[in-house]
Amino acid sequence: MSWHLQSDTIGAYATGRLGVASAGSVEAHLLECGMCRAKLAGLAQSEAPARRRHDDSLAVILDQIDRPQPTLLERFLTALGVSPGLAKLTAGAPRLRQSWLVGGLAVLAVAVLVAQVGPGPAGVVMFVVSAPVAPALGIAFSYGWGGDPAGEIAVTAPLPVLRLLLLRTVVVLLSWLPVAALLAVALPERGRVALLWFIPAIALTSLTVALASFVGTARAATAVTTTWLVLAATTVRGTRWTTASAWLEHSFLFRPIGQALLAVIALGALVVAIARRTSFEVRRSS
Amino acid sequence: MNATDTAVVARLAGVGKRFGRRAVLHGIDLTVRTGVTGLLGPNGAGKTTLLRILATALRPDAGELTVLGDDVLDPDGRYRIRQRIGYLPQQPGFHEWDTVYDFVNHVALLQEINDSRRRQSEILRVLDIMNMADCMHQHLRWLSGGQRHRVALAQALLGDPQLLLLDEPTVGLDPYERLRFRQVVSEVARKNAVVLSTHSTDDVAALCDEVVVLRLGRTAFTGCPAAMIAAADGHVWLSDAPGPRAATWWRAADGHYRHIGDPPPGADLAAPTLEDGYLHLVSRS
Repeated sequence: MSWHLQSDTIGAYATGRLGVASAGSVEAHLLECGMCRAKLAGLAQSEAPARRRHDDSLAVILDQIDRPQPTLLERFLTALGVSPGLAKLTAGAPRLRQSWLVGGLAVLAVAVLVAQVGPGPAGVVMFVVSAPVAPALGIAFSYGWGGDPAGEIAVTAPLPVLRLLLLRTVVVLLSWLPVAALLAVALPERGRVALLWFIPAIALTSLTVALASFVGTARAATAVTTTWLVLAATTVRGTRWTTASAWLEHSFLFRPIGQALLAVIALGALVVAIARRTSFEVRRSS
Repeated sequence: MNATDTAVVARLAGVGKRFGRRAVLHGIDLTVRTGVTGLLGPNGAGKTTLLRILATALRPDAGELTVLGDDVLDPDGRYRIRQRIGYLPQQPGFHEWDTVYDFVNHVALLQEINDSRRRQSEILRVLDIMNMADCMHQHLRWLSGGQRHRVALAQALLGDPQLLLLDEPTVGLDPYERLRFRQVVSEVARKNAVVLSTHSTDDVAALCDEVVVLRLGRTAFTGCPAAMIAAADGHVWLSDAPGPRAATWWRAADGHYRHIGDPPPGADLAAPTLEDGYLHLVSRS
């Protein structure tokens, strides 16, 4: 071969900077010329480390772009000492999880409105009776109503199901209790009466977790909240001329003894849930 | 695969299961080894229940079961088993609003693959195996049935499980996907164990070292595919007309009637296939 490719042409070919036509003619020459092939091979070898470094940095950048960023809730849980993996699982509950919060807030907002503009204490009573229901439903919704659709895969995974359920329960309570407490400030009644929902909320949540070990979260939440509403509706009583306190204390649920009993039930239910932790880890039916 | 280069992965002795008053499995004795074990049987034979028991999703009511050297009834043992198995349920539910990546990531977290770099590379590895890496940012609700199935299979491969349990894994797959699936299972079975339930004797013929036929919750046959074919030796007949005394018969594509069981008059004995072997085993009274 009487002529050879110039070094910068070989360099441009090696790095893919030549157009299709020029690259075609370079390739035609390379097929015939051993000297230029050797020069190309040498060039490729000398550029390999630099290319590898370039590829590595690109991989790191792409990795950073691709990697999902932790959400605010994940960062909050991680700051509390929860492992990043468990935090992601807790925060990654089905999207339905927000619906219970919105629904609960709507009910409480109506109750506050009735308490402010309506006659008598019905709004306050409605607030105190309905505020404990939302977190119990929230537990069920945090897995999707009817349970986790990927539940069969979850029960055969090593991560204990109860650990995840309890963590989601804590998140549900942490989301609900401050919100309900803030709304309670808007009630015309202050002090003890406006906080009578607090212990029942903890008790209903705890009972739902315990009952879920027998029948699953959705049925447990339905049973516990329905029982609560029926009990409250049939025992709370009063007239528009009596106070909210009188309405509520007509029911044993809102007397000091009833509240103490609910606190004991809350603790007992938590003990039952932990004692039955293995029952969360197998299917309940065929 | 030779018996000499296989290891025992699970051992069942007298395993039974009831749901209320209905007994679903009766005294199952089985040894699962490295390689592919196929579970065949009609609907309701107990295949899914047996797989769920192996996957620790259900507890047996009777008998003993060790998986990967651990007792399934021991909580610590069950935890160790779950770290080392992959499971594809018959109806794997999805979080429909998740992307493919999010869903597999969710399962990887349940598998306690907590290191984010390792988890990410493991997710990409299994999605790549199932040819789903290009779709990883798509939402599950928009995927075809076959694609969803491949995602479900990908999650079962997370962590390179020593025992892979697959419940009807080829249902809904087109021929190309089925071939891809067989390649994946064959690769896994080179060093690990795979137990799959299926209605397809083609899958068994293509993949399985060992076949277990279940019938009404009992083991009707355990052995290699060749032995299953041999079980029908002398029971398969061809004739020009149907013979109602046979346990089962059908008209084949060539116009002849194939019978399993008692022959009609003038029938000729035929060489059995794997399907004949299966039908002979499940149609015996």
